[in-house]
Amino acid sequence: MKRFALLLALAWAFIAPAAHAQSTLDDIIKRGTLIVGISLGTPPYGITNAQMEPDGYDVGLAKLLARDLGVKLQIVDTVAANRIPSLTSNKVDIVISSFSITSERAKAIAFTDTVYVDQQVAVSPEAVKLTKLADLKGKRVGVTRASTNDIVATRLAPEGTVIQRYDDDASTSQAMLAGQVDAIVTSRALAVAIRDRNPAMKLTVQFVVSQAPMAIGLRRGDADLLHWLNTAIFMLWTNRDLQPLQEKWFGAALDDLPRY
Amino acid sequence: MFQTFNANHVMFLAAAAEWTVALSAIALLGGFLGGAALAWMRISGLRWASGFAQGFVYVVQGTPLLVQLFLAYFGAAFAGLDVPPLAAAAVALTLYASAFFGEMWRGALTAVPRGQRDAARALGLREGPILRKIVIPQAILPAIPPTIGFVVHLVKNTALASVIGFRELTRAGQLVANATFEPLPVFLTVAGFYFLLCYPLSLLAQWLEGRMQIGVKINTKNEGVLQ
Repeated sequence: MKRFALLLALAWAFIAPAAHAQSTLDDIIKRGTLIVGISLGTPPYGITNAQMEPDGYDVGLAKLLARDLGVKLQIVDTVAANRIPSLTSNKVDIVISSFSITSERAKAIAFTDTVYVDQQVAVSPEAVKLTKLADLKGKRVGVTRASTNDIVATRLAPEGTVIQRYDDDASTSQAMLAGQVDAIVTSRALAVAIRDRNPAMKLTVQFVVSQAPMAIGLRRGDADLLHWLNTAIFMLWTNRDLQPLQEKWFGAALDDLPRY
Repeated sequence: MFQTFNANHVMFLAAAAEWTVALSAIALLGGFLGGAALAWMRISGLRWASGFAQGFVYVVQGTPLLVQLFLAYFGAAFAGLDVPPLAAAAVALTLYASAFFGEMWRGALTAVPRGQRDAARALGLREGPILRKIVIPQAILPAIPPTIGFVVHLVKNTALASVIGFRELTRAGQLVANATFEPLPVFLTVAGFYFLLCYPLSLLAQWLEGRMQIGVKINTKNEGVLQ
């Protein structure tokens, strides 16, 4: 009898995930909660505001999606390196966390249409002469570990560039302010904010390293949820819900969101 | 876009420090029980128990705590268990503390001269009372300094739980640093909180060590009388 119960438990362990696998969209509606992974240490996408509540562009978008689904929003603070594991291990329904689309990442998870297109720019004090990628040779360049600026800098920087990786954007910028690195690669929105915050450093946005289209990440093979999210993004853009968010957090709204 | 580091942020850090304390307390309690069990298994003379305990200690001491936390959180999810970050961190830190306490205490237990056990056996005591009344009381004192040292280490190691999104003191510090972009004052404050948590523990260790010296003196005196 005991052995039978054990077998049953084992069988259930295999059946349960299968029964679960229909569509995350149904799960979200049935549960009444949308669980979103967002890094709250990535300004201006995810931050904590003066009331110590989650805020930022990604948080604003998550709130709009929860509103349209008619469910409550639950935010799970997810550091950049854990975005994909959080999805594949079912810890969250979707990830909205300055998540740049790359074909490499798309092997593990699925991306929706873009929700924002950021630029990765090289920033340094005025005195450091940088005009193009090749100038990075021999320089110490700070990036945020496992983020898009890490990926593009690692791929595009010429041989001889010393890339130093930090855990979050505040540390990366601090490394430049403290003279630990000569330049950093970061998103334009953040670069402008750091420059305005530290006028004495005479920081300059030197050149654009790459474009970074960002999307919502979800588990592969969930066509239903993917379709709903793309529909929602399209309608949020058409109804001008997204543009004010972009103006608020990036200073200006994009002319259009690329779709594919 | 950025806020200035202010009293609100300090309160936020203080609230997160409570989670650091809670996580440390859970890991300590679990580690004490687990460590006691492992130490007993190692000296029990039972081959399977001793072998299991040794294997466990090798695995836990031979892998980084960061990886253990990652496995407890994401690994458990792949095995079909949905564990919240607090539970995953508590389990990982408990296992980690158990392994280290187990080894420390085994060392303290085996450091009690073998003759004491033999003498107790010769007097007709059973293994249970020998352990309880002869060996453990003498092993407690030398085990205190390394134990407290490790407790301090454990409190600071709870910071690693931030990788699985558990909002303790260090993760709260990262959040505030990224909301203010003033990492230096923020992390100095975080360091201050850790110091406030750990310094009393160091004082406790010092005080207990002082008491241990008294214990040693009394012991030598007694030995003199016995001789």
